[in-house]
Amino acid sequence: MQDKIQSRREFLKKMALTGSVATLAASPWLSAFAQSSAAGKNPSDRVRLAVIGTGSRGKQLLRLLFEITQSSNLEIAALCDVYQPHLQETDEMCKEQNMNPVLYSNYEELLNKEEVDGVIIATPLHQHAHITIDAMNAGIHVFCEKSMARTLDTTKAMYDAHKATGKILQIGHQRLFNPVYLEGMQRIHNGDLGKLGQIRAYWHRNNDWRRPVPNNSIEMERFINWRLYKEYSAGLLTELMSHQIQVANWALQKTPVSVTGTGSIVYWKDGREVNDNVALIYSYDDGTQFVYDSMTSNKKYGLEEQIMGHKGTIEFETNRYYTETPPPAPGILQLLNDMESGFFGKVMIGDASWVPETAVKYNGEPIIENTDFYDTALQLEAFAKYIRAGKAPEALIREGYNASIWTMLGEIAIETGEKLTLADKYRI
Amino acid sequence: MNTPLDIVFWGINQELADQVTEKVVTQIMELQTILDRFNSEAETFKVNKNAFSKSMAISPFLFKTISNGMKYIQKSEGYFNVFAGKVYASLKEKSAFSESSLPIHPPEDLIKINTSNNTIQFLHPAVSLDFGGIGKGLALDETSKILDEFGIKNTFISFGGSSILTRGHHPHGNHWPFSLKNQEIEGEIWPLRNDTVSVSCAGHGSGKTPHILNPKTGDCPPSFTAVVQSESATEAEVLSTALIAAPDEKHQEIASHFNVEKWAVFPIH
Repeated sequence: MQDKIQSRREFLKKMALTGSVATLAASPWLSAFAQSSAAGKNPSDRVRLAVIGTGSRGKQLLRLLFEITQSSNLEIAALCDVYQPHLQETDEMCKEQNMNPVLYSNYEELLNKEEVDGVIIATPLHQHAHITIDAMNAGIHVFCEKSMARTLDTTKAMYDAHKATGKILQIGHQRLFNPVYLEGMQRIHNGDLGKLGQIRAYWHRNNDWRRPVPNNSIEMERFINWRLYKEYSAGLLTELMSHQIQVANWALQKTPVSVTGTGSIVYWKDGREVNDNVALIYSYDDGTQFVYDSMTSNKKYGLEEQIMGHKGTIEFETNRYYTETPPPAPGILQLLNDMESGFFGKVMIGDASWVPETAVKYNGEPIIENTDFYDTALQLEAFAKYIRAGKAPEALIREGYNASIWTMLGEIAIETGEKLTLADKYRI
Repeated sequence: MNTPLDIVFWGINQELADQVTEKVVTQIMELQTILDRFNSEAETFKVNKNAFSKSMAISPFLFKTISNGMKYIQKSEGYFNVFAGKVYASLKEKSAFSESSLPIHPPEDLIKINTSNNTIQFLHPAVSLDFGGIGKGLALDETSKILDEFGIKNTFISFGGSSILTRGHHPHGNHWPFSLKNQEIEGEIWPLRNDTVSVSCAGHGSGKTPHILNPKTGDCPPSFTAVVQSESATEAEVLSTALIAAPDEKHQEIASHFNVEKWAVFPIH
């Protein structure tokens, strides 16, 4: 992983290399990220962070924080988790890095006692809202993993608290900091794909999504496997789709006007409450659609977001761009090159065509050439920079909010079987 | 026709190039609506479905194409047959080839045409139109008319690499130096000016599905490539296909019936 971590400076260099100065201008969160105020090296300039929630995602974020601690002048001041084994594991991880964070099992105590600049929240979904709101009310900036909250109301309450306190609320949509997406979005917004007609996305896995439960107790089952129970999670929607509807909204530069969907448990009939199979259609005001499906009993098609316009298609996860007008045959390309360079060479084009003739094999081209970066690390680096500046671009929270709110509405559409629109009170 | 069409112009402005290209593509799409035997909306599909049971009035273009198809049976000595659709279908569907489905009769016994009112009727139940071996040639001959209409002097057009139409010359030479992609035409470069070229191949072996067979016997011919240069793209297509289907000893005689510049048949390496 070490060699995949790129600093903000390297990231910006890459964006410049791909000709994306315009991208920086079009993505306000990047413009702010790009401003050249370097992190001071003095202890007084240090950004003090706490991580609340030290499970698998919390550990992953912590590892990335270790990589940028020096360059961003960060301090991991505190860790918090109600589950002691996780807390101990992350404490040991910190000690290996010669860090000595204070440990808490109660987040309120952490907020009261620690003078931290920001908290990183990686708890189960249903805990996001109250921890986030309490932190911001305590004057602390927040980076919260997606999806924002478990309900429409708590999602809105988080946003309202951000507006009321003026504290940063950054939601963990790492694709917003991913050069593949940034470059692709620039092409989309420049009209390179033409008029977008449909965005398709899917996330398919073939596993039970379960984690081992200590003591095999019912209480611990719900605690550990919270993703499988509706009280805590909307399952595939909040854990996976929320990332992808954010991409759709970003590509279309708007939010949906309605959603309809269906879902069921077709394979993992193991006591879980969340669907293992969902399909939704989000409609936008210009008639475009975001067509989504996710399942956990087949992984053939994996993960993708397909942005389809009348001139071309982008598939972000595999870093591919396809024009609707495929390039000429190699012999024709050679002819064109010869013509341009003044060379009178033979045109080696003749070949039998085969019946039945199938579509031309055209594998597209990469959106960007090098993808050696960790977007999640970049967004954490951005969080530190925003903290130093005391603010983050509003566009960033709007992306997170709209993705989360429409994810929640998608869940209700599935449960009611109705085509739903968003109530005015949830619009921002 | 589900085939890439590459058009190279030089010496004209972008606007004219776009205009010509648009007209060519539109023309090809229109031809498709006549010649497609799989699309239920296409005229050929409808004719195949109904023309054995009754006489049908058809479009002038299809009528002319069928009439020419009858001539091509004679010129190719039966080795190119647009009425043998069911024979070719047996290949694609990998079904057993049936002797009874083989329209080996003279064309007058296969189809009745009435030039006074553009009507046709199939006379044999095995008759089925299949323009797969001639469609690109027809399209390029129509394209040629469009080039005349717009006064295009220099162009190189490739329809899937197997059907080529040229006008004028390469900007840095006095012709278009044509060659095959994967093998030499007996070491030659064919200089093309206002010409067409058709490349056909038996296409079996190496996992490829055969798509040309001897319509008289149902046999798949050996792996050969045939290349024909002609003023007419349709004639070139017909002859290159017939040369693949026919045995070696027939090549010279069949080729003599066609008005072509040059032809060659050689084994696939």
